[in-house]
Amino acid sequence: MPSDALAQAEDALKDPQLMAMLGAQPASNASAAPVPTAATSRPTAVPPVQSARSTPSPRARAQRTLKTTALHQTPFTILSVTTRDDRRRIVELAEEKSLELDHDVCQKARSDLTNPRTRLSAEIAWLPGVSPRKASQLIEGLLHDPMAVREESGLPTLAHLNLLAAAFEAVDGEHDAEDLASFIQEVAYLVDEIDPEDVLRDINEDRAVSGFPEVRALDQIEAELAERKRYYRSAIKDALDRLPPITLVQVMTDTVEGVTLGGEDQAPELIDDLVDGYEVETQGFLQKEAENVHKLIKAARDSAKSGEAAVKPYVDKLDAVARNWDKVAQPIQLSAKARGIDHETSRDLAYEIRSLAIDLFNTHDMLTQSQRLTGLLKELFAELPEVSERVEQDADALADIFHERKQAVARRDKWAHEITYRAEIGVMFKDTLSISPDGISWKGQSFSLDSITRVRWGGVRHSVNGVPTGTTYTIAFGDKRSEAVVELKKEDIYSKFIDKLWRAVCVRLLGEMLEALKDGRDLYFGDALLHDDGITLVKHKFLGADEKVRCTWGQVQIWNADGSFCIGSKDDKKTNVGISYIHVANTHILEQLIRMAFKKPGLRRLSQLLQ
Amino acid sequence: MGFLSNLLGGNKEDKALREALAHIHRILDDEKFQLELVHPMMKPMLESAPAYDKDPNGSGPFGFTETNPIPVNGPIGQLAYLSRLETQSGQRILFHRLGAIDKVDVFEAVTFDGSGWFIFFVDLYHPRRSRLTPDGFRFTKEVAQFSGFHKFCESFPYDFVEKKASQYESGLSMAYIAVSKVSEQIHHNVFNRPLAHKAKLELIRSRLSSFQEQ
Repeated sequence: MPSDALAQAEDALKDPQLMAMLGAQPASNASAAPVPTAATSRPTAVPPVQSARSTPSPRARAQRTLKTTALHQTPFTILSVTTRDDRRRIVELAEEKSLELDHDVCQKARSDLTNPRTRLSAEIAWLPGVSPRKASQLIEGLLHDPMAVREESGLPTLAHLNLLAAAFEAVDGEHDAEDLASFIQEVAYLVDEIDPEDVLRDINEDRAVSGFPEVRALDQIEAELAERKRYYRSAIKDALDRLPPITLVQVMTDTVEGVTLGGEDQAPELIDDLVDGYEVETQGFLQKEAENVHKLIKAARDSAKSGEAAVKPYVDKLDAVARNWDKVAQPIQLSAKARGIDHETSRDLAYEIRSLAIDLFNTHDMLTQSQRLTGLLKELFAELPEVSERVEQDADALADIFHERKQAVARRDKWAHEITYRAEIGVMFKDTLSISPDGISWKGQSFSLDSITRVRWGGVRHSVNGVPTGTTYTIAFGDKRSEAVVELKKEDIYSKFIDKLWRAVCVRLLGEMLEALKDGRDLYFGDALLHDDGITLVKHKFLGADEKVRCTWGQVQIWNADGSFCIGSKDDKKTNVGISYIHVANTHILEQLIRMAFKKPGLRRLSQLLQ
Repeated sequence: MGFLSNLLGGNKEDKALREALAHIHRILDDEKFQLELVHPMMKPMLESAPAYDKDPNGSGPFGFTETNPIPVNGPIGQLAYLSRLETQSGQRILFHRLGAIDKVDVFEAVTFDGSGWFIFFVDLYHPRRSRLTPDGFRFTKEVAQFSGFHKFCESFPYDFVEKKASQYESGLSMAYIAVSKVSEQIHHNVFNRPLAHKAKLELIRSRLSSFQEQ
């Protein structure tokens, strides 16, 4: 290993913040500061770190003691008999013990050990494969420091499990949840390791010494082991039942989470059995909470018509109740996921909440509450693959909608900002010309933006004897009934206002014009009649009446002259129309329309611009 | 005028410029103004929380554990506080947000010269920022332009320039340190996480109750 890697590893072991995160103290220099994690800088002195999960493990705390355990009630312990003692010795010891213990108890113990049928049960519940001396030490140690058996190594699996099961009797309501979850996991993995053939061999080795007939059939051992596993489950369950409810739920969650790697791996058999028992016991609670959820969903639906403010308190409560539910159901959900199934009750509940989320959005357009519920489902029911997938899709859809709405709002705000303008016009007596999303106002006349159907504007340069004396600008806008006309001298106000007017009104009018043409309507602009597929112009005659000539878009050309927008036939110079910008409504829009059309080669109808 | 005027091109007596400078100063220093920038839903929560330098019930080293986080005033307060920190040797820090453990935000930080890496725990639900510094740190005497982000940086700190640019829309980009302060170090790849720090990150990530997607 490279030396710098070793040095870094050593530094890591001295880093108090890291050690605190790991729930341990630094290997040395316990007063060193947390951080800096660096090759060059050294820690400064500060008090030692207290971890967030700083509760010392039970093994590190005051050692618990026991007065007796299930192992102390076995015939072997009652009579102080070893697995290698023969029938005669057992009888002798039973007689001796009868002097100090209950006679019937001693005789029952003797009978259990000397009767080949019951002896196997006693042997399986004892410490098969452990030497008498070691067994005696372990049994004694169990009373002084029950949890020390967790550190034992090299013991036969069954014997170790029997000791561990006895150690569970030392678990009380104060036991650290994290430690207990680890303890249960240790036992669960060991149970899966029990090999009936090893057990058969260990028992027969002792029987060869004690003179009892050997066990021949493996199925006898297997039957006894099945019973033994039920006992382990019961020992753990008894320990869990001594915990406060919150700790119990935490231990179950940590245990299942740990062994299934968050529901991804199959759990040991013992854990599945434990979860099944847990599910039965929590059924009442979950049912009651599910009813509360149903009530809240109904209340939220009923109040949806009154608006979001009425729904929110119910969603708040739903959030709290669903979290409560999930906390208790979490071990069951994880276990179900690991077994490749959904926890049905959770799934039904999740779908009910999802249905509310969908209704709130689809029927009442309450995006925020809907997103909230979807977020809640994502968080709480991640262990249900089917639900999780659907909720993920819902969340994506809602997020898209939310994003689009935000963008729409942003676009609207930007547009509002772009079109808002006001200016004072006049030298002595000023009037305010203003434009905003609320409309356009001038001299007491106001038009909402949508009501405006006509706009026109332009400037007239004045001169006296060829000397320029200024320009007068005219802007006019109005609806079907009336029109406001603004006269001003300042070019910058004129330019700015026209820019705003274009964005606020003209773009809409242009669209409406195209829609009208598409619908087959014709529109008059001065002497010209606009059609979707062309325009009717006027052929001017020196003598006689003027004549109307209809041209297609391919037959006309456009130009500007004398403050007018001119359209004429390409083939006949006398066929043309001049439309004044300043006097005829919407001339600027018409020009824009035709110029746009001419940029599209081959365009036959103006309404094609809409496509 | 100091760096800010230089930042915007000298001592121009331009009203817009002066307004911009004042705005930046307010973003960096003015705690009340920083509160104004938080989401309206969040503001009452911050204002109703206690204003203190340190949680009186906190345990463990200040700022280095979630049981004793640094109180600050909202997300901008986080930037303002962390950007003020410098080590005893005068090294300021770059930082980004890893996520949160419950209500406590977790930040990863590295000195400008890449020599020290840190994990800070910050509680943003307070009306003002703490006047205390974590052990081994002091407040810089420089103008504390922002040097980090209250969001996750995928290639921290190598994506500093890119992330700073992304602050343009928030209007905060002007309040950030000049890129030149870190560009040299980025170019020379001086930012390498040591083993212990990597281990801390792994542990933190496994415990984050909320995090930003990479």
